[in-house]
Amino acid sequence: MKPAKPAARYQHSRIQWLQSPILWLSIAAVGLLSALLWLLLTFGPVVAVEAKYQYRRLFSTVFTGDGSLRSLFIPNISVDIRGFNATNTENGIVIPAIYLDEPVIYNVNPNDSESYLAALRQGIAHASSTAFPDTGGIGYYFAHSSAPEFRSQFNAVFYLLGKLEPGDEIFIWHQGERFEYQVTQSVEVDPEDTYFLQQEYATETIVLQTCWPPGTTLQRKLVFAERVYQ
Amino acid sequence: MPGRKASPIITISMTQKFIRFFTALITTFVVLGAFASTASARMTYGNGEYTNLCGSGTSATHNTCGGYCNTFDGSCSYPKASVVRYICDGRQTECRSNESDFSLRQSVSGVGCGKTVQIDVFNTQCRDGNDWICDDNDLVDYMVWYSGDCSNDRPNPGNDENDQTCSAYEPVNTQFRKSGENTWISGDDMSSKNIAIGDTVDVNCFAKNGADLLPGAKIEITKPDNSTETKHTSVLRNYEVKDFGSYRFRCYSTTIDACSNTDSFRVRREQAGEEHRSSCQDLILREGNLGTVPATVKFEVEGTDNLGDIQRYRVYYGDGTKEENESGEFSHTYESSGNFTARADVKDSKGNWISSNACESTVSIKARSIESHKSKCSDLFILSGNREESPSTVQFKVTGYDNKGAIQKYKLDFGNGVVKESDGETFEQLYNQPGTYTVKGYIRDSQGNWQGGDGTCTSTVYIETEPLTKQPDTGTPTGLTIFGITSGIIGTVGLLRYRALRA
Repeated sequence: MKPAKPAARYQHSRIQWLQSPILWLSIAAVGLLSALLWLLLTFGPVVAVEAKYQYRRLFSTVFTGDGSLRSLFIPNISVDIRGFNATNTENGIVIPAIYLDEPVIYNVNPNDSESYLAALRQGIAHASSTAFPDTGGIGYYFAHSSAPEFRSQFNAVFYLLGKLEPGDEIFIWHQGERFEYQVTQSVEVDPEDTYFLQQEYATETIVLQTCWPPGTTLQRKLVFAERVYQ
Repeated sequence: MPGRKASPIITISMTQKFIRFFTALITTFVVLGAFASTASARMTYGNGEYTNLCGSGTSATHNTCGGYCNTFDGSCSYPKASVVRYICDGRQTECRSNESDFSLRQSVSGVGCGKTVQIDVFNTQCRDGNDWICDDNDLVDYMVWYSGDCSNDRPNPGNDENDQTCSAYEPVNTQFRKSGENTWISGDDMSSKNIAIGDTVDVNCFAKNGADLLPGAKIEITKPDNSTETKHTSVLRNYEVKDFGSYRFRCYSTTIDACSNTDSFRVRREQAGEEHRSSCQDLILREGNLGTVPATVKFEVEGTDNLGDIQRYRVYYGDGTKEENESGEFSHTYESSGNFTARADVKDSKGNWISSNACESTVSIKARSIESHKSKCSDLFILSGNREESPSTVQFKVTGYDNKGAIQKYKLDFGNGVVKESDGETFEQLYNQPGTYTVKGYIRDSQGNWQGGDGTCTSTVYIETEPLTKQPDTGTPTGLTIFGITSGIIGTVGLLRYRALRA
């Protein structure tokens, strides 16, 4: 019998190598673990925020007294965080419609990713050189919709921005003073689209920004809100 | 802006949807067509006219559909990127050619003459790849506009003006453009258009916010040498600019009595290299200074602008109040005695508020025999350095009054952690970092009390960062998501393969 040619031998050994269950088990383990890790890091906070939102929504619907017979037996518990019992009353933001009550870090440089990523670990960032509340002009606030770091709730603090509708209230605290705004519109734009920062606004306006859709940096969701003067 | 380009490849099902959609539209047009045809073509924008507004012809009231189209500026907007524009040749009442991308806003401008533009506003993005997924229920607003004949003639207004009173035609509006350009502007300075000697300009004389031409209109042209020339028309075309300097166009009616509500604006050609110079020249105390409280003092502000008119004047009276107007003459009553630092600024032809130390005066009001102690931090002025890139040195001035003695000290909290006290009113601070800073001014009155830190004694300093060209990344990098999904797929394939081999 003739010995096999070297090339054929190589081909044969490669096929044998590909037939190894250990190899495929390793690939499966590495692939699935990576995917699991990605799911956990990226969508873990998102799922947590969504679940918390749905729970509070359900809770506020069920346990708000409406004068019915049921409310005689079930205690009236209202989950109203219209800014009157907010926790961040020095520098913070409250959006009752999505049960958001978080601190705001003012004067964060939006051109410096190192500084704004550090700020986003503590709360919602206010872009430097944009207006503070009560000074006119436009104030620009941004936060994560999802982040690849499993650290705190700030990983997905603006994930729920997509649920805001025109008319929803937003309360912002700056140096202990509260300012009220009302959502006017919500748009999705390209990341390079910064037209709204150059525009003039007749009424003091804020813009809340986050990446969209969650889990990507493809687009930016912008929620515009106008100042409501009491 | 997001938006998918329409493709000429259309599937059968999509074509059927289209046909149904158009049939519904055309039916609407036919039913309303008779009504529309009896109405005069009065809705106009720019040099053109609307031929169809939301299916009810040109007689439709503004925004009777979804309210997303604005016939005054010729644009439609919607919160979602679902506005689309079509352009056709000639004058049409509907148009379905040359579909644009879907976007947040579309305008009729910039198409040239002899074109029909249709803008449709849908409640959703109608293109799913190549497929059209909308029907007429998704159409929330639309308008069709004809840009005008290329001969530059403008359609005549309707002849049903029974109401020949001025109020029926207000506001009169003068529109202007450099000949050959599509965009009209009104009530504005044309300096930025760089009009040279020999250039020609077009002028329209509109009424009712551009919905109609002004009946019996004349356009009076005042040239740089102050000579005037009058054209008996509401649509002046290709008027040649022959001299340097300022041209003024005034639009008025000869057939409507007492119609004095006219607009005017300037056409200007700047000398080569000429810089814009504007300043606040003087704040004059006309009368009432040194009066006894309560004293009414009259002020006059003077300003100059080498390229146009001062638009507005503003006076800070020094007692924490301020006022602005277009005449530059003010009157104010002081309710407290003392020395008040009054300061003025002017809004120049380019819209910038300009001040100077020349526009500052001290008002002295004498006390009555019995008057309680009054003191206050009046104003905090930013004299220079605001809205500049870091590092920037910003100068401030704090003013206040005290009717029982002199102000002992001034204090400024610069908003960056630095607080300074001084015997003088002016301060200077270097800001090294870009940001927004709230600055608070205080005075210590003759009785040793600090006053201020709020209201007119606060101000905001903006130290600019480099212009933002991309919004911050606030999501998971898309590459990581792709990696995660790919890993999952590879892992699943690996697992299946492993099981197969084991079997």
